[in-house]
Amino acid sequence: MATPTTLPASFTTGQVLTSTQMNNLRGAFRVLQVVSTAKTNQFTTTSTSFTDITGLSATITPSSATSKILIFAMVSMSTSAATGDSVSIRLSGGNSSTFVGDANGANRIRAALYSNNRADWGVTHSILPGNIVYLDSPATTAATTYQVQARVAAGTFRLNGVGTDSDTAQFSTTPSSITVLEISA
Amino acid sequence: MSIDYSAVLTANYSTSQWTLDGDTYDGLVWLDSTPKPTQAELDAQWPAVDYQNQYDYVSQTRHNEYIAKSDPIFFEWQRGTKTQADWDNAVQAIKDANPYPPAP
Repeated sequence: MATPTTLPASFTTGQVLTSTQMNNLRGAFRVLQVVSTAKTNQFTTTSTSFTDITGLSATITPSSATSKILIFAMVSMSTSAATGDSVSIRLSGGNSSTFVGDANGANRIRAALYSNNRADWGVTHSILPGNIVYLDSPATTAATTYQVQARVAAGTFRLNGVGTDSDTAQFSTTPSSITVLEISA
Repeated sequence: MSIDYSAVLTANYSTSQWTLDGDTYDGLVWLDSTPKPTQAELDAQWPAVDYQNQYDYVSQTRHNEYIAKSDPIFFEWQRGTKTQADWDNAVQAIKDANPYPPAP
């Protein structure tokens, strides 16, 4: 296990490292484990409070409380098309729910991603790929689940499909995923 | 017949709170204070929703085709370089190529 914080603050020219120091250096800042989940089926909701997207989560048990967790989430998101229909996306787990925009007033929804498909804005049939990249410091060795959540302002959110979906060759389905990496301190 | 539960829920329960994982009734989680619809109730609503979705799709397709194909002929007719019959034929050709579905 890497323990770079036990290394000297500096080395001198010609100094010979001990085997412990070399092993610590060798282990520093390495990817210790990777957990990834892909979701290919659709998920739809009308929930106006953040709700878990079923199957779009990854659970990791850090091997050290000093480890960082690097999160990559790719979310294929679409909404229904009426004026006011929109979706906000965020993470939960560890400290990841804090990775949202500032309040900037009293009414905006603080989220990591946002999308709408307003017909009057000409984007009715799009699926937007949203990416969340966040470096968490959970400070625990307990199993931690990073979960993607969604909520709508109005209308319907659809994951992995067009908000106004129908079974025609005009439309595609797409996948989403979440990958978490434990990075040694 | 494959039932698109997300389409039924989106069409008829858009003001209720729910989540649907995948597209089977088992994936439906009802978050609303109103009663959760039964699978039989949703199944019964599917033909009308399917018809409306197909109707809307054809309507949108016709709309796009009019803009791309027949509207220019209309303006050419106004300028005297095409006839009303040319425009009528173009409109009819679009309708023939994109028929509305039979009502359920």
